Amino acid sequence: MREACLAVTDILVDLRPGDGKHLGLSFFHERLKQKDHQDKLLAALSILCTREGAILKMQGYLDDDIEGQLHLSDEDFSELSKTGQLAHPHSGEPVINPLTKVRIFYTLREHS
Amino acid sequence: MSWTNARKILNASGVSTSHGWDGTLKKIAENGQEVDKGRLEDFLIEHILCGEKFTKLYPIDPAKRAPLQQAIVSATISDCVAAKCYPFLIGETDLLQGTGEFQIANVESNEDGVGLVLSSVFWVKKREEISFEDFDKPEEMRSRYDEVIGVVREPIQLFHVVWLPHHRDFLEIRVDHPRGMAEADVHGMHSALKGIINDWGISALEKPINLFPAVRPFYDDGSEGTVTQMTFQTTTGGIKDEKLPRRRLDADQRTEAYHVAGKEAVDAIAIYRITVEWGFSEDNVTYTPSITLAASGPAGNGENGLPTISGALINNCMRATDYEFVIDRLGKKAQLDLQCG
Repeated sequence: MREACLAVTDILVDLRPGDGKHLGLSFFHERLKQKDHQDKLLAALSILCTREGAILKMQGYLDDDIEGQLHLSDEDFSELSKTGQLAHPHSGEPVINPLTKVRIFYTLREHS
Repeated sequence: MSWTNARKILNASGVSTSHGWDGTLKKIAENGQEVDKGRLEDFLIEHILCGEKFTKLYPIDPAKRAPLQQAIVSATISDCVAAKCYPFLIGETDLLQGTGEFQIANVESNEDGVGLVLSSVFWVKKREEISFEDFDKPEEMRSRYDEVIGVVREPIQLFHVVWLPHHRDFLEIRVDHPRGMAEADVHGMHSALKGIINDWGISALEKPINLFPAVRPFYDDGSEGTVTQMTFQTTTGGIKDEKLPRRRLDADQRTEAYHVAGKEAVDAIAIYRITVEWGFSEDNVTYTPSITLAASGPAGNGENGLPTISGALINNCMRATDYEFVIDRLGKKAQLDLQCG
């Protein structure tokens, strides 16, 4: 796992200034050379988001039929992560099966 | 009103919210929260006046201000269910019988101006996901489809506003612009409302103020909010539609690396559609209004072959605080004081 985290960190180090605002899973997957690292990608990203001094932040957006990407506030994303529930930001109606409609991405934290 | 804004209003009124409307109502019922209904109603009225509007501005002769104001404040409220229910929505039965007719629901007056609030019912097409469990054979449906979507036409009640500000020499017609409403319908309602005012015989409203002159100044002024969407023509013949979804107020399309590099690679870009968003706090409430100015292309029948933009989509306003903020910014960028003479 440590090696997987280091491999992800190596990818982040090579980012140009200003990049790192929206990094999807496929971005990392394409750049990890070893299958073992690819298999551990989600876990590695989770560690890099949550450990003290985390360098990444996990965020999400709702794939909306009309508006396209409807980005979730930190509060809404955190609630979704804890409860699996999401109220549509516009209608306030519960989103059916929200985990199938929310797309995850990662952002490089400011201090990183 | 979007749930995001409703939640802010509820929280600002001391109401603790939960997951969406249903969750919040359930929480209030279970906790026995005291709700300041008067304060919420005030917020609701302000939102009716200012939230999610497509606004056109008509210059008026200052000499006509007094008679226009008199016509507004002395307008007869329609004898209709919308007026009786105002500021709340009409019930479902009345909604289903609603027509596109405009009815005067109320007259409003505050420190910013005076206005007529008109109600109408509009049918919108809506897409809804249908749960597999709603079918007789859910498993069969699940094996055939990833999701099932139904299209339904639903009536919604709209509140439009004819507003005469105290401190600006133009009349505003604000048409309600919920999600899913076609632009042609919005312009149609504007024409109808303009016709109503012209029938008063006080001041003939002609063409609305052209707001296209504000587009480039909004783009050029890096200190003016953040640009989250823009469409432009390049001198190399491309049409680019660039968008930064709203998630951080420091995410500005003007300075986004891909946009900057692309702009430097061409001689010039002609922007004809722009959305600017702002974020500010006042009295522990965070406001995030936005304005969209959209022409259909980079050329038109305006001066020097430029396009014209007859109205602004002013979105995500909770109340007068953020709406007036946007109008003020628009006024400066469009140099409205010069256009109104």
